[in-house]
Formats: sequence, C-alpha cells, structure tokens
Amino acid sequence: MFIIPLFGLPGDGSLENPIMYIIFYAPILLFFFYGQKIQSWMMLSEVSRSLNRLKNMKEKTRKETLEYIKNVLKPEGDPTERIDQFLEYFTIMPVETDPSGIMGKIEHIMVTRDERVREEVRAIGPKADPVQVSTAENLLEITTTLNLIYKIVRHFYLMGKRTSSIYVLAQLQMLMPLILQEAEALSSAVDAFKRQQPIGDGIGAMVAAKFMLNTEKKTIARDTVYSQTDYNGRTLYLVKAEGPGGNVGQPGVALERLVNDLGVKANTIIMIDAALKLEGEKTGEIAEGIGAAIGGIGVDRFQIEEVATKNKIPLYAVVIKQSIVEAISVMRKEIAETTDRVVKRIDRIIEEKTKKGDTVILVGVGNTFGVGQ
Amino acid sequence: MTNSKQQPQQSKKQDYQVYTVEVCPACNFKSKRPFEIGDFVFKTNGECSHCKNAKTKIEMIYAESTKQQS
Repeated sequence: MFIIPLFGLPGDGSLENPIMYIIFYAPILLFFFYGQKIQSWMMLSEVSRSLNRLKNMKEKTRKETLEYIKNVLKPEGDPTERIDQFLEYFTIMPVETDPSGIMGKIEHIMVTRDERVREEVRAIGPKADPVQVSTAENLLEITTTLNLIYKIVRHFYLMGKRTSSIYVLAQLQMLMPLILQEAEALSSAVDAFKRQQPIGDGIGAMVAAKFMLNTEKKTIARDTVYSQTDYNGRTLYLVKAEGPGGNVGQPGVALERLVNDLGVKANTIIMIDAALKLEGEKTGEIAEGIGAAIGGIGVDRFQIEEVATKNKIPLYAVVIKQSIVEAISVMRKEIAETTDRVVKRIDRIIEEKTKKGDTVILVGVGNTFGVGQ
Repeated sequence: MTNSKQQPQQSKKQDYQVYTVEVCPACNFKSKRPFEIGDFVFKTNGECSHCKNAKTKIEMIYAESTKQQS
C-alpha cells in the first residue's frame, strides 16, 4: 500500500504508471513461466535441510556407537574400519513370486543375519559379557538403519536435483516429516540403549517377568526363556526374551517347542506387547483383542498363528499403547505404571476364558533391555 | 560413569529424568532414586533401609517428565 504514494500514481490509482505496471505483471509472468522451477528450488532447499539433519543424526549415532564399542568392548585395535564396513551390510529377502515356504526362508535369513551381527560384535570384543554384546548389537542396528535411511533419502534428493523432477521432490518433501520422526526416534534410543535402561517396547516382557519371579527359568530358544508356575488353579507357562540384555528372542520358536516338542496341551495363549498408538490416543492405554500380538517381520507371528490354528488354541492379546518414539526410548512413567493394571487384565482373562486345571501360555513380547526375570 | 551415578540422566532437551523404584518385599517400603548404571527391573539390591529384614527389588525404571514435577 505504501508503494502508491511513493510512485505517485496519477488519477484514480490505476496501473497507468509503467513502473507499477511492471511491478504488478512481472511476478505473474515470472510465476507463469518459472513457477515450477521456483517450487522445485524451494522443495530442494527444504529436503536439503532435512537431509542435513539426517546426516547429523547418522554421524552422531555412529560416533556414540564407536565410543561405546571402544570404551566398553575394549577391542585390541581400532574398530572404526570394521564398524564402517558393518554399516554397509545388507540383507536380501527371499523371492516372493513363489510364496510357498517363504516364512521358513525369511526365518533362515534373519537368523543368519542376527548370528552374523553377534559374531561380528564378539570378534571385536571377545571379553564382553552377553549384556554388553546385545547392547552393541542394538546400537549397531540403529546406526545401520540410520545410515540406510540417510542414503536412500540422499539418493532421491540427488535424483530429483539432477532430473529437476518436481514429482520426485514433491514425494520426498511430503514423506520427510515421517522419515525424520522415525530417524529422531532411533537417534533418541541410543542414550537408553547405552545405559541399558528399559524401553517402552519392553512393557510386555516386563509383565511376563513379573509372573516369572521366583520360578525356575529355562532356555527354550535363542535368547528366550520359559518357566512354569501354578496360577489360580491353572498351569501357567511363561515365555519372554532373556533379560536384562537387549534381546527380543524367538517367541515363535519357543511356542512351537512348548506345544510340539514338550507336549504342552495349552487351552489358551495370551500375548502382551506394546502397540503403536494412533494420534489422539493416550500413552499407556491398555487394549484387549484377539490374535498374535507381535511385530517384526512376521516370522514369529506366523509361527504362533500356525501353532494356535493347528491345535485350535484361542489367542488373546493385551497391548499397551505408545508412540514410536516412546517405544524405543527410556520407558515413560505412564507406561511403567501400567504393569499392575495389565496383570489385573490378564488375571480377568484367565478367570473368564479358562477353568481350573487348564493350561495357559503367557508370552511377553518386546525388547528386554533393562528387564530381568 | 561417576556423573550418571550422582545425577539423574537428562535428555538433550532436559525434559525428563530417569528414576529407579525399589520395593522391599517384607515391609512394602518403596523408595525412588536416580537411575544408576547396572540397575535393571527385578534386580535384587541391598538391604531395605526401612525394616532391614529383606533385600529390596527394583520394581520399575522409568523416565519422568521434569515439567510435571515443577
């Protein structure tokens, strides 16, 4: 508005002044011919800023992982080169065009991958205890994931820049907030992992561990323990990953062995796990449902569903709601305090869905960082 | 290491602190203290400072918002 007296528009203030004419029409023409270019520049600069944030997160996590390995695992030489090689490890998933038997193949590949990571860590720090090894494994997994996210985003950013494709950049720009949220969650998990503190995802394991107290624990699968106890006239089999290291165990294999190898005639399976909340839901909300409450790539869920279906065992699930950030960072008070309420829910399910003399398998799912048994 | 034993861990944004809650199985006395490295849930710890009859057990380890406290 202040431009009008500045240029002294004659008459009724219309665009008769040539300077005003140019000021008014030039941007229209500029945006008409170069609008898309300007938009792609803006997108590029926004994606570039996000890419820098990803790079910083990746570098910080790599540095912290290296520090942990050097200070705690105490390798003989400098492990930097080996760790950097490790960050480039990849996993090729099986062919999906012939899906018959694919779960077995996925399981085989995942077990091989996990074993390789563990061997690698043990080779770097042969004197480290199992908790330190699992901590290093988890830290390396976070660093590898952040490295992969950074490289994929950088790939599309450079491709969009090179081809000036607004469509590639628009997709990347739209996805960036979600990618950054995931990356920030991973980056913030490092602190909890280094200190071996329980994380939000461990709530299922924590509930199972509460039932397991003062019982004899036996190993049933890789990093997985089970125990047996009497509970309100029922026989209760309890399964969880072995803590306090950062393990998720093999609940699927454990359940298969309990039912198929040890001949446990289960009447009910109850699974407890953390579940991602929807926006608007409260952290620590408890929900009940039917089915195998377990995340991951799907191998464990498949195995549990197979056992339950073949033996016609009803599957009940109890989940504790939390965000992705809460699931992989130090357990919040609201989540930790749900333990007793979850125990009451399980108590009610057992009371209502089973009768005295029945056998119940209770599976606590999740990463057992900082949770014993 | 020493620092973490003396002071509760704080996030980069200083918005939470991590605590350990111990319970005595004999007298049910609960105590809350800053998290120390080596703590884990259901770990049996030292003698109960209240009744001195049993060893305490770690019941919970959690992060508490500092905003709620102030």
